[in-house]
Amino acid sequence: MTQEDAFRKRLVVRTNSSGLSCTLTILPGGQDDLPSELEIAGVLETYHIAPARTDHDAVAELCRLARNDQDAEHSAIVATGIPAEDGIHAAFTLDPSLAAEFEAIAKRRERFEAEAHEPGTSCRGDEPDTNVDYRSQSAFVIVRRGDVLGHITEKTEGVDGMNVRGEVIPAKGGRSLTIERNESTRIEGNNLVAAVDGRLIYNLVRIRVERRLEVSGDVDFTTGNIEFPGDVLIRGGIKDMFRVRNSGSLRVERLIEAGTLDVKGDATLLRGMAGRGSGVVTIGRDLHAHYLDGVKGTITRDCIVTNEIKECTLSVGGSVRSPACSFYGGVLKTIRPVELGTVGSAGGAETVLEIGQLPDLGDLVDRLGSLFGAIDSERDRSADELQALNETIKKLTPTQAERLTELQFTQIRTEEYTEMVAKAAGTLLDSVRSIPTPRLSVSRALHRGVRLRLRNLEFVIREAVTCPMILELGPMGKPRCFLNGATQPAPVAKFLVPTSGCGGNPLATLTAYVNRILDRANDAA
Amino acid sequence: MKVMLIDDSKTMRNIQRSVLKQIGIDLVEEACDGQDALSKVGAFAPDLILVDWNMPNMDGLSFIKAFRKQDRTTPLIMVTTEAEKSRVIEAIKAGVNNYVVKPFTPDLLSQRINETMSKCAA
Repeated sequence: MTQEDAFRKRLVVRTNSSGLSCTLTILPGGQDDLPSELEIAGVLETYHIAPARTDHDAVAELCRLARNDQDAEHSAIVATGIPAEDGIHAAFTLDPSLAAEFEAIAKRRERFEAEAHEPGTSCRGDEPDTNVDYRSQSAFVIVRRGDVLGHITEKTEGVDGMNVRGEVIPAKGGRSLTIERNESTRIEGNNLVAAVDGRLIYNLVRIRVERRLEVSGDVDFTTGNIEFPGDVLIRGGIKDMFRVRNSGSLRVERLIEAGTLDVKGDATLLRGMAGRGSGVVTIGRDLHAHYLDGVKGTITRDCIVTNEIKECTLSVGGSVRSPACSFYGGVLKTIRPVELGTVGSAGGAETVLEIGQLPDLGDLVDRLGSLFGAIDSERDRSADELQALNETIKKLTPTQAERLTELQFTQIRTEEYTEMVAKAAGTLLDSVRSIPTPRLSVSRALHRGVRLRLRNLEFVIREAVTCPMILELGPMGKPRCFLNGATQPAPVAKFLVPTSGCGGNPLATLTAYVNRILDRANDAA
Repeated sequence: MKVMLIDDSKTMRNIQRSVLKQIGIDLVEEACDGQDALSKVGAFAPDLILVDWNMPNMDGLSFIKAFRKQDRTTPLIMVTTEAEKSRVIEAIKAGVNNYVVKPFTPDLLSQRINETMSKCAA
């Protein structure tokens, strides 16, 4: 056995499974076969341990220990590798304020569910002892376009490591963002922002903004009042005292109790609304409903009710197109024509129907007239002064020269103003002419006692009228009636009792007035 | 285009402003006398100045003389009741580019403004 074989036998080299650590053991032996540090380095090299990864101090210390105590076994880690640092996965962190909203909603739901007793008695916001006002708290997180939804942390690739043999240990790169999203969100820098207004839907795997809010059940204490910047679909109904306010359309599939609707677009109430005198509607476009009972409010455009309008006070900017609907009790005011099935009731419920009222128009014409008068008198006054100045003075003083300039200017300005007022009067006249004739069509029954107002003419229905019938203002401003599809008007005195304003046609009066203004403007020009 | 109106009469400034508006000029600064005008003219840097003659504190002629020391190019129109030939010559010597005698009509003033601007642009 050579000396080299002898010292090799005393050395045991072990590398751990990860390749990040190499342990050298010197077995007991004599002085003769004790390997030197150089010899140990040679042995490590045969095991492919990279010199750069070798801890030479550790080898020296091991040799020293073996030399001092040759009867014992000595071990030490003589080479170490560098572990790989894996990359970080991309991550999405919800904006703290939104996270707080989601948390509050979850807590609220838990609390609400925990309060097993009647929520209607303990949760009402108007009770002084109430801890939580459930009505005012929305169950939905609503965001606006451009709102920051959260922060995105980009993935990193990581840093490669090296084992004791000098081989690269590749790092694992971070994963890309895995949260599912759609075009309702967009990435701006490191932020995820809402691309549309709507309800934020978020869980660990998905985020999106829904432009339409769908409420699967009723609007009640579980949902709170609804405030939404878009369309709303309510699969259930709306409970007493709850409010829905939205900027799009609204569709409610079940019964609405004495709630409040404030809708910018169309509203469709499939079952209808039992407002019991406290229901309020403000509809920005058309209202479609099965029935309305005890409801107050305004509808900007048309009102279409299939079954019944009962004890309501409604102002309709368009027409009422409800040929099968019964209207009894309450007040219905509209600008445009009305089609109903029944008006009034056999029991004599106080029913008022006003068609074609133009409350602002008279005031507008008056203002136009007074404006025109003021311009007219200013023009006359300045013309008189100008004439006097020109006739009496041969040489003007500086003050008179300036006054003359002013008067000439006034003359020109009054002509311009006259032209502007005349133009406004013409526009007004066009608007007046475009207002349709007040007309009521009733297909089934017009009951006795109904108070009817066609523009400024008021009547009471003396006795029930045979229907179908059409009642309208004729060209001369007199009411005329067509019964059972007749083309010739029937006498109205039999069933209409005039109560006021039967002196003439207010529209004709307005037209004449505006025409007078136009004539004067033409004369002035 | 920016125009400065210098006249102690608010009514007269309103008339001039109205004439300017008719010819499409909306950027207008007003001054009630020569002194007020001198304090504003640097910051406003008008393209045209309409100036009255008889005003308190500093009259129009003094303003023109002071203004011309610092600016020889901005067109000036004197709008005044001073109609004598000697006064007109005096104003022209001081540096006005055109002259409008009160009373004037809006048409006359707008004609003089257009005339002055065309001459100065040429």
